[in-house]
Amino acid sequence: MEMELWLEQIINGLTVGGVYALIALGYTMVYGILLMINFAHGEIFMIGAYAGYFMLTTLLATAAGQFSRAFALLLAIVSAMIASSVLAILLERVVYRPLRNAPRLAALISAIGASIFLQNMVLLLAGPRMKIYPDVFPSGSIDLGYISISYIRAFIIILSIFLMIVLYIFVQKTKTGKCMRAVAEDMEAASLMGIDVDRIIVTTFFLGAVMAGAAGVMVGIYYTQINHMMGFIPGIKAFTAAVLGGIGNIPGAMLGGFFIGVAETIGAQILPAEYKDVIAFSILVLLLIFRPTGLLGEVITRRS
Amino acid sequence: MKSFTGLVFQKGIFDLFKKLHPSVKAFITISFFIILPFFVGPYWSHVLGYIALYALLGIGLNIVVGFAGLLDLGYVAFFAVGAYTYAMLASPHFGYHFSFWMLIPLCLALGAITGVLIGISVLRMRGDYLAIVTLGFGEIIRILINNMDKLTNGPKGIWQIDPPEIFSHKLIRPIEYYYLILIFCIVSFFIMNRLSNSRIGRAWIAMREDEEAAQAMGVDILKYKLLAFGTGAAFAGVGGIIFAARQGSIFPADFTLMVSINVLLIVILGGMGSITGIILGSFILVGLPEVLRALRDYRLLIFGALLIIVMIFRPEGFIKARRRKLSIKT
Amino acid sequence: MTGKGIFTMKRLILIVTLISLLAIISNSASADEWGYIIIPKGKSLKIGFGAALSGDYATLGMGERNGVEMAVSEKKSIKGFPLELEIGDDQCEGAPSVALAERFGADPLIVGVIGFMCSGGSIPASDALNRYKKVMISPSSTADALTARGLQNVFRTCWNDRIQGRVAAEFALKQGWKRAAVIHDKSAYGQGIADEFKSNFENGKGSVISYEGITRGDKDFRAILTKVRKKQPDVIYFGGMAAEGALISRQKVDVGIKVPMIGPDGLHDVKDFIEGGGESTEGQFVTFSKEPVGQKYKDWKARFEGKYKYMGPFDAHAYDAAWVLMKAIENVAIVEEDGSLKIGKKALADEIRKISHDGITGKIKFDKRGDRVGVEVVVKKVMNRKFVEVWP
Repeated sequence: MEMELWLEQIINGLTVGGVYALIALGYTMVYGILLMINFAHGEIFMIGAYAGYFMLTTLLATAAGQFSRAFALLLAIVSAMIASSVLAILLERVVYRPLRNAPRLAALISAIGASIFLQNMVLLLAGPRMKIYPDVFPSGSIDLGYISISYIRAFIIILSIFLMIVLYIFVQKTKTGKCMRAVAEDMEAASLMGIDVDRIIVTTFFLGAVMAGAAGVMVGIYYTQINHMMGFIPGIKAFTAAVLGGIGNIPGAMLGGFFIGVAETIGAQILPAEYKDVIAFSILVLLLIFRPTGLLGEVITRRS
Repeated sequence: MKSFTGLVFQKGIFDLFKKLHPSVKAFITISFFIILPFFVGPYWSHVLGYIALYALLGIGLNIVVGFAGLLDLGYVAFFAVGAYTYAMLASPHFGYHFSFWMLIPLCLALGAITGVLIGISVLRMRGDYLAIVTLGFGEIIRILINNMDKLTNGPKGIWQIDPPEIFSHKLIRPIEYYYLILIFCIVSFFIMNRLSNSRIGRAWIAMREDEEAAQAMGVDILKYKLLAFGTGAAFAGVGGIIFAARQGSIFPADFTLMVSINVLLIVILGGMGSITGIILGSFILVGLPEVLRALRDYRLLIFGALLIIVMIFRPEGFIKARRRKLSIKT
Repeated sequence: MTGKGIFTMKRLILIVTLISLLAIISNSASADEWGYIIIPKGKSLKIGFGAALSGDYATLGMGERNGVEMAVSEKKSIKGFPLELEIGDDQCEGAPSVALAERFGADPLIVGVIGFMCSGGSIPASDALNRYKKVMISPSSTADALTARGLQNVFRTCWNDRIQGRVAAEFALKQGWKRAAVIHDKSAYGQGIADEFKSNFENGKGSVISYEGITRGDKDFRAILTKVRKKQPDVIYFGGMAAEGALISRQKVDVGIKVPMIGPDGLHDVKDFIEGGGESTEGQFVTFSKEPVGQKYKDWKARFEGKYKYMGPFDAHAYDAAWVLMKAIENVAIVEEDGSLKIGKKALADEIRKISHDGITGKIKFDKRGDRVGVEVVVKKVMNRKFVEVWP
């Protein structure tokens, strides 16, 4: 009985954590290269959720969509990835590139500006009312002996882990990935070696946005409701996850995401649920006091 | 507002103004702000009060971020500590009615102590790690206030907080609050000015520019970091007590992360470290959304866009502090 | 140092004008204790309106705005003075609500205010408006504290939270439910109602087996629900809004809780709660004011939905509040000889206090505190995707 309960809470935590981890990847990659907090990343995630919503509802209104819900869902995820990455590339061009050599805080402010702008743009375009994702997933669950996991939850955990592995392999094995790591290590040296730094930075924003877009649709189908403010809290939590894992470190962001998710649910089990966020932030504070560079972070040598 | 923008745009007057002796400049500026509410009516006096309150918070945060270079995203925590201390000791909530003036030193001290305590736990952190941990602290304090119902009345807030009294005259009108805050602002600007040219101020700036080098030159990093956190937080504690007295009722929802972000925006927009910059920053950040109210639904959309545009064209903020100009580009 | 002379001169002139102005105002304002609002000939009479028009609760605020706008556009003018609506975003928070109250208070053409939306904004804003002695009627601030402080200028067309918590507890006890798990959203509204439910339920020999808060804006409540399931409640009471309520309704099925949930008016929203929660909301209970019967309400609803597509929970209350205010103004306003309109502030507040208006949401009358009398709160059950009155 007890055992079951804890296992159940851990699975609860892993689902939440999967979403945090996917968003955290975008923060961590951009930070790794530009040393900049992309404060508008939560909104990139939100745009993905909206794009997926419109795609899904349009498709389901047609016969083809009804015929294959899996296909409709796939298209929704792809369109969310596209919308998010287009937005991210646009943001990089318009908002961040002009500030690349400006003081770091200037970029932070314009990121906050972009975040406010995007929230209100969606408010005006899509209206203030939250949108309800259609139910596309068959209800029912997989029996695992002790506990059972619903299909949708299994789908989210598996898809998020799959996307993270793809990303990790991409960064580690491909040439572009290698370039990304080189730029993160030393931007000037990388450009002297003939790497097109601008292109690599755009790629980084693109990859982070693809993950965030997928996370947007996942949140949509899992929690069923989206609105223009939905990026804010997950954004903060995901950023916390990125820092917890050691900012700039890709496996760290994944670990941090799952860690925060599980810590929150276990915390809510032990203490009154209203202290959930206190627990998440306290863990962060305590961990950073004893390991100031996060779980997997290296000691950062300061660049000036 | 009109006369203010007029002043900025008439370059001739502005240049002339620049050449004046600092004390004359200060006199003119202060007189300007003293007569300002007479031209704008009670509503804008109220907004001016907000602007001045945020300027006060801006001065405090500027010490932490601008001088000492410690990116603090949890500044609202100290503001909340000041506000709730006053609310609990001067309202029917517990039945205590201590005087506003008596509680100012207490709120100041409690703010400073909270600042030092948080400072101790983040001593080893730098840059963005520091930012996120202070953000975490800010949230923790807000959630604690929201959850400790017996002490703070939780989300229902504390009401009927006493207004400050001068010789049994209750300060309740917007204009009276404006002058009250203005006095605090002037005193704070004076303190800030003195600090920036003092041994302490120079130590902070050295620390901001290069921590290792500063330490090698004999700056006690530990001491000066805590001093920065404590001093900055003391301003927020005072800001909090004024806020609570003016609002008359406060709620945990008044102390969200957005407050910290707004104050940070003021400091950075203004250009970090200059008094004029902070005044200008508070006008833009607190005053502009009020001006933009006429645009109704598009208000925040335009505000967001303006933040981006301003940063692209003036990435160092509107007014660069003198010492900033001399320092190496960071 | 030439500046000094100019400034002192200006100040002197200003002070003199101010004093003379004050003298004029205090002279003319001797009959009404609170003074008068004078609308000069050719100007419009303005009504202030504040609600959240941005952020998380913008839907609710924009709905209320529609209600007020519709009322004003129907009335058009009072005694030949065109009506104008001054709309502001109170962001559902204290500081912006007070700023708006100061603006409305200081504007000489604003006679009264419809608002504010959230109790957290209405409470401090009512203090500010009280300084200007201007009346406010809130369509949706239900916290007890709003009218508990003895202010003479505050009214509301919605109900006081205390009634809802009591009715829900009575209903639960009547059903024979002995063990309730209470969840609330840690907001002034949600926790206030949850507290009322808890004390009434316990007074009636029920036991509250768990009492915990969630965070507004969160999406995952499986952790707390998994915990609640283990305590085997007979019913879950949720104090909060539709967004979180719909998720709790869904997720409680996921974690295997089969008992029903009761919630307050915040859940009474077809789109956000029933559509948002889907199948899982079937059989859940919500307390709300008794649905007005009769053709008048039906016609109005059709007209409103024809114009604005969708009707939110407090839109009709906002519409009624605007009408009450306009009616009261009409009753006390006097056209002066010079063609201006004169409205006694105290007279206006007294007029609202004794008004009897046949509103869309039923008969509107206020008690001494400014609370609406005779609000009937009923329990509704979600059946076939509709709210159906089931009790009493």
